[in-house]
Amino acid sequence: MDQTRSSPPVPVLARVSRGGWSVELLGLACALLTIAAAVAAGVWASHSTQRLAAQQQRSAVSTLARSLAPACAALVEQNEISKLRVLIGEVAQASELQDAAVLLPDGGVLAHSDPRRITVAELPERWPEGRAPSLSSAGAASQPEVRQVVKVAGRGDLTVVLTAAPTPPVWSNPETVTGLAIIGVIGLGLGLLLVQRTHVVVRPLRAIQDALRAASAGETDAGSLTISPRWGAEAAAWNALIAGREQLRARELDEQAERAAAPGRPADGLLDRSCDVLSHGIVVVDGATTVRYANGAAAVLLGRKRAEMVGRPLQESLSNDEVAALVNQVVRDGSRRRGSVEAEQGTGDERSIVRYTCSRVTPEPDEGPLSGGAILLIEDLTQQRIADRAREMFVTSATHELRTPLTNIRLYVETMLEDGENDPVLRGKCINVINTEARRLERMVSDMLSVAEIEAGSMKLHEDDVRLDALFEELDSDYQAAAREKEITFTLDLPPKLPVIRGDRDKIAMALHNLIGNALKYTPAGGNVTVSLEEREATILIRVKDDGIGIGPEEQERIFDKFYRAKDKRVGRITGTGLGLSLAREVARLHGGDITVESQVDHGSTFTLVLPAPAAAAPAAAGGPAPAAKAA
Amino acid sequence: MEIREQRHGAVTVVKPIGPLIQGDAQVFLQRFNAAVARSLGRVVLDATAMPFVDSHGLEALVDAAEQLDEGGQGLRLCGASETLREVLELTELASLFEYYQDVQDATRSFL
Repeated sequence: MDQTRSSPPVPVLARVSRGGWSVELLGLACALLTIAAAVAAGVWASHSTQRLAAQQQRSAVSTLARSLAPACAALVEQNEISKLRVLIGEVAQASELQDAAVLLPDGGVLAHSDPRRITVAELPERWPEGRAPSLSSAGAASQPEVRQVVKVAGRGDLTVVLTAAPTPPVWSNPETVTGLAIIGVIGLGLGLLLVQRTHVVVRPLRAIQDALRAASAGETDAGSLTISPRWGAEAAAWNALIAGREQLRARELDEQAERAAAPGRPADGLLDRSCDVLSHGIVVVDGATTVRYANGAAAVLLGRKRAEMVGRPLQESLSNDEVAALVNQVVRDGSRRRGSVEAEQGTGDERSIVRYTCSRVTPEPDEGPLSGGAILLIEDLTQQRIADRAREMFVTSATHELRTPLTNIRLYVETMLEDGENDPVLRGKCINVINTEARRLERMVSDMLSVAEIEAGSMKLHEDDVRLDALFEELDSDYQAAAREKEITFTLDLPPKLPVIRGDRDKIAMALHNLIGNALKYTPAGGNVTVSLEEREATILIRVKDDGIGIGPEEQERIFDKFYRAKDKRVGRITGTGLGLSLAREVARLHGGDITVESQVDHGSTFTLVLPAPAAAAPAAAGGPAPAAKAA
Repeated sequence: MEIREQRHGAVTVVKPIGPLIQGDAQVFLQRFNAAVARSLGRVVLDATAMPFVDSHGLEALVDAAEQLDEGGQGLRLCGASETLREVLELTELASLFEYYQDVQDATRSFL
C-alpha cells in the first residue's frame, strides 16, 4: 500500500488489511509437508530395499548352508575336525557371515567361525539324533539363523548354523543421510522461494481485493483506492483503472460545473444559495410552468411553503388570476416575452402591494422557443408605496403651506402700497403681518432643509452657551400675539432663575417653536397652553402642555415619523407638513436628550423636551430673571 | 408580559413590555411569527421596553431571526439595551440581528 499519502481520507480502507502473509504461510506449510512426505518416502524406499536385500541375503545363506552341510558331514565322517573348523572359518569370512557353526544336538559347538566359542574339543563317537538348539543367546537381538541338519553316518545328526551379517540401518549410511539432508535443504529452499514468489504474486491481488471491499463499503477517494505501484504489473493495471475512473469522474464534474456555470454563472449551488438570501422572491418555472426553484422570500410573499411549491404547477401557488394569466402568456402562449403585474393582497391594515414580473428564459439553441421556462420576480412594494404617498402628501401640503404666507405677504404689500401711504396704523399692521409670515416662511424652509440634512446624515450641532431666559423671552414675544388672536391663554410657568445650557441655540429654538406652535395650532379657542421648566440633577425637562384635541395612544409614537400626520379629521383641516415633531425629536437626540408625549384624546397633550443639565461648572446664576408666569 | 403591535406604514412593530423570559418567550414567538406571516416579513422588534432576556427568550429571538432569514429578511432590532446587546454578543448570537437606533430607522430600512 502506498504510504506516501499525506491526507488522511482513508477511514474505510484503513479497516482492511493489505499485504498479509496468510496465503504465503499456507504455502510454506504445504511445502514443508511435501518435503516431509518426500523424506518419509525416501526412508520407506530405503527400508524396503534393505528388507529385500536381507531376504536375498537369507536366501543366499540358505543355499550356502544346504551346500555346506554335506561337506561338513563328510569331514566329520573322516574325523577331519580341524579341516571342518578351517572350512567353517573360511566360509564365514568369505561369505561375510556373522556366525557360522556346526552344532551337536546337545548344543555342543563342534566348529565355529569364532574359535573361542567351540565347546567340543574331541569328536565323540556317537551322539543322539535331533536338532541342535539355537546358537544365539536368548533375548539378544540377532539376525535370523539358517539351520541345516545333516546326518553323519554312524554317529548322529549335525546342525550347520549360518547367521548372516546384520543389515545396517538406513540412518547408519552416511550417503543416505547426506542425500536426505541435501533433499531437505533443497526442498526447504525451494519452499521459501515458493513462499516468496507466492507473496509477490498474491500481494497485489490481496490489495486489489481490499480496495474492492473498501469501494463497496463506500470509499470513493482515488488516493485511498490506489495501491503501491511497486507491486508489479497487476498493481499498475489496477492503479491505471482507478486513475481512469477518477479522470472520468473529474470530467463529468467539470462538464456539470461547465453546464451550471456557463456563461458567467457560479457553480456548486452558489447561485441558489445567493438567491435564498434575497428579500425579493424568485421563482423559476420550466416550459410546463412547473416550479423548479423558489427562494425563501418567494415562499413568504406567496404565503406557501417552499417544499409544497417545488415540483408543482406555479398556478397552485398563485392566488391572483392576473398574475396566473401573465405567467401563462409568457411561458405557454409565447404572446409576451416579459410582463409585470402589481397586485394587492391581504385585507384591512395588512394589505400589501406586490409586483410580479415574469420574464421568459432564453431556451437552448436546440430547444423550442417556449421550452426555456420563465423566472418570476416578486417584489414587496408596500412600504415604498406608503412612503411615496407620504411624500406626495408632503409636497401638496408644503406647496399649500408655502403659498399661504407668500399670498399673505403679497396681499399685505399691495395693501400697504395702495392704502398705507397715508395711514401709518394700517402700514404698521401690514408690516407686522408681513414680518410674521416671513418668519413663518423662514421656519418652513429651515425645517425642510433640516429634513434634508437629517436624511443625508449631515445635520451638525453648533454648540455654544444657550441662555434659556433669553430664548423664552423670544418665544414669549413670538407667540403671545398668536395666542391672543386665537383666544388661547399662553403661559410661561418658569422658575425665577433659568440655567445656561450647552447646545445649538437655533436648533433648540426650532424644537421649541415646533412644540409650542403645534400646541397653539391644535388647541381650540378658549384653551390653555402652558410652558414649564423643571431642573433635575442631570436633566432639564421643558414641558409644553395644552388642553387641545389630544392624540390617540396608537398614534403617539407615529407622530414623530417624518411626514406623518394624525388621522383625526380635525388635524386634516389644519395645515402642516408633518415634519415638526420629527425634527424636534432629532434635535433633542442630537443633544443627548429626547422628546416624549403623554396625551389623551379631547383632553390635551403634554410634550416633554428632555435636555442634558448644564455642567456643574456652568452656574445657573448666569441667567437673568425669567419672564415668569406671563399670560396672554 | 404585554406585547404591543403597531403599524408604521406597511411595517409592523412588535414591542414586548417587560423581560422576555420563560413562558412569555413562546407567546412572544407565536405573536411575532404571526406578524411576520401577516405583513410578509415587514416586522421590527422594538426592544426599548425589554430590559433583559433569559435562555428561553434568547431561543425565541433566535427562532424568530431564523424564521425571517428563511424569507430573505433579517430580524430588525431597535432600542436594544446595553444588557441585551451584551448577552447577544457573549452568546455569539449578535450577528443574527440587524440593529437600529429607533423604530424610525428600522422602518426606513424597508424602503
